[in-house]
Amino acid sequence: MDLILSSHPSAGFELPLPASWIQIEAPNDLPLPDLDPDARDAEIALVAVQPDGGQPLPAVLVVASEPIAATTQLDPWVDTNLDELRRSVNRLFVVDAEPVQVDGLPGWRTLTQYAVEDIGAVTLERWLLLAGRRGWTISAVTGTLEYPEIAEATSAAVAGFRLVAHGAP
Amino acid sequence: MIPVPRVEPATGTLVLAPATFDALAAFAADPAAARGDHRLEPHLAAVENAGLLSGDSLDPGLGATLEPVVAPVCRLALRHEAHHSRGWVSSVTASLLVPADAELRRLVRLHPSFLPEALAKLAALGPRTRGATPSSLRIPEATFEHLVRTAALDSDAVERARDATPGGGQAPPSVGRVRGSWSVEAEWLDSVGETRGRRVEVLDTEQTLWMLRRTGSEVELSPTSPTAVWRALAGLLPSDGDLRAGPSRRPAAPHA
Repeated sequence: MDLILSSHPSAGFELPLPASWIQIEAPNDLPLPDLDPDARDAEIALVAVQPDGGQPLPAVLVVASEPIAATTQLDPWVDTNLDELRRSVNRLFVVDAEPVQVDGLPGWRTLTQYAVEDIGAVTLERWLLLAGRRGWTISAVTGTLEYPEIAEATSAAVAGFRLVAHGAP
Repeated sequence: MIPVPRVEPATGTLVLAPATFDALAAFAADPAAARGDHRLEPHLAAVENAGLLSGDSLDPGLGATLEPVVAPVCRLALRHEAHHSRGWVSSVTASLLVPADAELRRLVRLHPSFLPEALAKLAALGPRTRGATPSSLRIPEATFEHLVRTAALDSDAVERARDATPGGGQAPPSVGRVRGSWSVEAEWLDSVGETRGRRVEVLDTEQTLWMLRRTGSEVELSPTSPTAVWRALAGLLPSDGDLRAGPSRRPAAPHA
């Protein structure tokens, strides 16, 4: 899958995204809660949607950020995020969780599955990154049987995630 | 004495003897032939006693569960330690026959997209602490089977296996003791009736998970993660392209 670098004009980040995916910036008015319930409280900066290819659920990648209290530590923030996810979706199954570093930012990657009515099993891979007083969340959602088709591209997108100064070229 | 099948109240799952399941599958495929087979009759009587069969009419829920068994697009075989499970997948539903205890099986119906989760749970896949990633290794198949059987695939055993196999690969500093091993195979027929399939085989040791690949007389072990195993399980079932695939591996006809 070809990736092209996408720079967000105001949120201060860039990441490579699959070239064919449709990108929507600052889509806070989009009806996304069913796919990513936690995103409701976060400031969604970017949504990238896989073109509809007849799959049960086109894959969606969401980049969001939220203000974090100065005292917030990484592990409790990740635990809270997972607890909120558990409360807001049906039949959450945690496949994997590991600490990661992206662009020098400490974080965690979690791989979970939950059930969505009329769709079936959905796999959510999520990276939670702590950047000072701001928490960044990158979520990739897809039908579970379609996960192998996008896993490499979404991992590459996150590996290329960079925070950039506002107004930087 | 044939155990009467029972439905678990909490889950609605049917628990039954393996031979009773076989009789039910035969009945679902051809009721008249099954009724005429005296070996199946006691099992069908047990299903009738459970209120799930009356004359030639199966309980609708049970009938739906048996649909992929009768006309599967894909068959699954899972081996986990000494336990064997079977599965059948159609385009809209899947059924799994998994151990309930030493004698009985649990027949579960689920949407195919939940199969990776069901298989992962049977194999106890989940988050685990990561250590240093060890190197891949190759060991003779017979030695590997012995080490797994005796749960003794520790670093000394790997060293001995490596020493006994010239050019047999690099041993990691330690692989830890074996927690378990499992495999799942998916098999289907392509458009010309040729059997195709995929296989996922995993060894779980204290140190890490290993993806296994059998290469003739040797077993190749590559360190892996729950995420990679999940990806393999999610990609186990045949795609439309797999089912359409023809005899691509056959030699092309010579040019005239």
